[in-house]
Amino acid sequence: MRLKRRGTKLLALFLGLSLVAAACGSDDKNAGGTDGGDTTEPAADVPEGGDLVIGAEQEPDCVDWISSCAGSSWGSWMMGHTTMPRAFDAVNEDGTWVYEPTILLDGEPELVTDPQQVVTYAISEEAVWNDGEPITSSDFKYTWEQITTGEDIYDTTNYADIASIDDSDPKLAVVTFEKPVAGWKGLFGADYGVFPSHLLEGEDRNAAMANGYEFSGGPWVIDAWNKGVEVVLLPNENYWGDVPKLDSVTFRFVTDTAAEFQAYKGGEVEAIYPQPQIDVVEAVNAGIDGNSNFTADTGNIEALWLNNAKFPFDSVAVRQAFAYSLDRDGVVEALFGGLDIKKASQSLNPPIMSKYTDVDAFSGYTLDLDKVDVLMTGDGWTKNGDGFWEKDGQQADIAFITTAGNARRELTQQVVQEQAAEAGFNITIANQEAGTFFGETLPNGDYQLGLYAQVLTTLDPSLCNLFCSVNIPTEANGFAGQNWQRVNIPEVDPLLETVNSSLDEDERSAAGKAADAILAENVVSIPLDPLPNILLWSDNILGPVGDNPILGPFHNMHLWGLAR
Amino acid sequence: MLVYLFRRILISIPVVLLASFLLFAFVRETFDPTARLRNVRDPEVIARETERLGLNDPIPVQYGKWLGEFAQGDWGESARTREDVTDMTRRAFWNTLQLIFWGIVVSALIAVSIGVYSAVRQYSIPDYAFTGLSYLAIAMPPFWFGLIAINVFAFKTQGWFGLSEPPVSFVGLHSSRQSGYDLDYLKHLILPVMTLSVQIVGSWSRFQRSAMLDVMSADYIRTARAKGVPRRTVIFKHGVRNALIPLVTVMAVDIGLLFGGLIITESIFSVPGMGRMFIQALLQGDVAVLEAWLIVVAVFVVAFNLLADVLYGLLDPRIRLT
Repeated sequence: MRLKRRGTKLLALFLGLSLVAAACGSDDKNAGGTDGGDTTEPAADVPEGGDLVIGAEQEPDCVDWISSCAGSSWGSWMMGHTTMPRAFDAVNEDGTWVYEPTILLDGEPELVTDPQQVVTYAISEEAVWNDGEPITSSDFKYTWEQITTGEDIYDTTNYADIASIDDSDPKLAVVTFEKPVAGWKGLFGADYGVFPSHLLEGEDRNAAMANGYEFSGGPWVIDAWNKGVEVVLLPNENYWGDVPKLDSVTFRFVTDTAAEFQAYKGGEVEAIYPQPQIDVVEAVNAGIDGNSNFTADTGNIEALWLNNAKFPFDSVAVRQAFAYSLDRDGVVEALFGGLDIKKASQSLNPPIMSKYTDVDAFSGYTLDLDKVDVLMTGDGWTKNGDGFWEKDGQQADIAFITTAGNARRELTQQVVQEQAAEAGFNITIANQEAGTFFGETLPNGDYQLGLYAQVLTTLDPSLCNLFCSVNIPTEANGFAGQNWQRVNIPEVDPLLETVNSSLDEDERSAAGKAADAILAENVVSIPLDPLPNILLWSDNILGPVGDNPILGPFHNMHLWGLAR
Repeated sequence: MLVYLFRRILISIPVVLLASFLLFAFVRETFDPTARLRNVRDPEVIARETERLGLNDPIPVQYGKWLGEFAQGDWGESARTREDVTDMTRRAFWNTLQLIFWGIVVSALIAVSIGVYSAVRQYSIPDYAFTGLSYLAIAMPPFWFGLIAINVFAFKTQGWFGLSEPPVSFVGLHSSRQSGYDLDYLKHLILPVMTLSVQIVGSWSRFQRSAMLDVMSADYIRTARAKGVPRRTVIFKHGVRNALIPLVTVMAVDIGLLFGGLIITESIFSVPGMGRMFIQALLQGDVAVLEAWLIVVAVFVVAFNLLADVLYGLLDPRIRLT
């Protein structure tokens, strides 16, 4: 699973960097298209015209999507998903999130698996850039080449496994893989989209894109990016799908949460997508005009991440005992009860990954102090005079680290600290600045217990990145692996590898569920809350407004309208 | 006077250089600008960025390189956005300057009026009221006042007067896709200027009152009154004019400090000024931006301190600067 940064303001989450998959919305005339993701109401006859203003919590550093500077979720939501053509959309089918080809493609790509994996993308004849030039297989090839050979590329995962792309037919991109890649549907749509080779070939791509660009293969064009103030999108008149009904969309940067709510209340912005902080939940609970959509069916999972190689969590019994010492439902209720979200997550996979998940894997770990006693004493621990567990003269002292300045996480820490103390674990809080936490502490393993969220950016579980032993950061790999928990369970590795590489969905699903069960049995970490997404929008906005856990809420703005 | 000015400027240069070096060293030692890249899958990116930013060189060498480029007008690139720091600073500075200018104008007018009135009507009920309000204004946190101001002057007034939208705006300095200095600009200025002015008015009005009381008890004022000079002339021509001298110097010093950015005000009202630029750069260890911020702020602090001294000498002929 790729990490994603959702906000960098002081109270924001810092989740690592990744890019969000995006897609154009569907075209009613094109049966091969997607429907633009999850919506709360079907597309209605919305009126034409009007200028929509939306509050944006964060301004991106740059918008060269494959570069390391473009890890901002907001950047992707505002400008990536609205302008870059994508191969696949994540859509909700009867409660399950699946990939569907967008109107960029002429139907589902052809997949050949023998003797090697070959995917043939048939590009729609109607697909053109805003300058009228057709979107071609050369654009696919250029994108792949830039990702795999360019400098300062954020992530080459799966792209690096492509052996070649045949672009001899402009409307057929034949992608040959070096080895099986199960997550191929996330390519050219999951994180980066497709880049215009006719404009960028031979140019400095980063210089051309970093501060905004004029090309588009989506329903919108970036008209202006007034740094620090706003981003303005105008309709792409050459879009071969549904041309936007609105005259313009402006994203105004309002980085302070209180000010953001005031701006929404006062009508200065007509929609906001705030982070699920405590003050946000309180404000929503206190009542706010307009419409709201909050869902726990997200690509997010916030968990207590245990360093399996560090005392006292280097013992399975202690990890299990720690899990039994917590009332996780109580923690979630304290955080999100106001949104009627009261149940803890029971898997280290986010909710939208239910297909590959044993959704009840951790359900057995409920508050049970008797079990804590049995497990700890069985492992050779005794309680000392202070009421804390002790073994061989060492007390169960645990330093609990999260990102400093995040009020929701700090509240979580306090609740967990209290519950753990009652069970005999002595927790001290030692928060750090996000850059240090994610950049040094976690990769170097200088922690015992951490609290942060994983945010999915594709519909592929990619748990192998997090839990396969080969991905444990070591000096040998320059501490580049993502298995920060130092999980080393031999029977899990092949299962997670199967999830990553098998092209048989049933086999992937079975392997994922089996892996989940083993991870839960060993309590490699403890899932906590699904980190809900919260969307608020005024009654003036008409159309299929809703959230998409991969694409965000603005991917189908071209179908929206304004009442006035 | 010129010799004095020249000497003061000469002394200021090493002060600014020392401050810039200390900031450079502290930021480099505290923040790792490559930390945000550790989740990037490109294994070479940290090495490249380290090379590009010269992070392997000793701090004095890095500082020397930065200083050399800065002196030639190259303020460098933001480590975060790769944007030209000159452009970033110019943009942020202009936004902050607008807030400062209007804030100072409004604050000066109100503070002087209150200070003069309070002094002339010493120990009256309005004097006591202004005194209490001044202390309240000084004690009030700007972030609290700003949010209250939005609630009262935007939402409550909308309700009281049955307006279709709030009479004032509070996001940025213009409505979306607007520019220029028109009614829309004024509507956006009211609340941030009010927030900025509250504490300043509280402080300056006290100072003006005190200065006015000193002046009004002077011999020459008594003489003017004895000569039959009209009361209004005594107060405004002789009293206020002389009482303004110390206030002007205080104002000059305070204005210089404001150029560091109005972090709270800019944050609440989403104005991309020097304060926001500073905070973002500090959190990311973006040393080129921080240094540019420091130099700009230091220059203005020094300049306005100098201005305060010069004004004092100009306004009071008894004082000679040497």
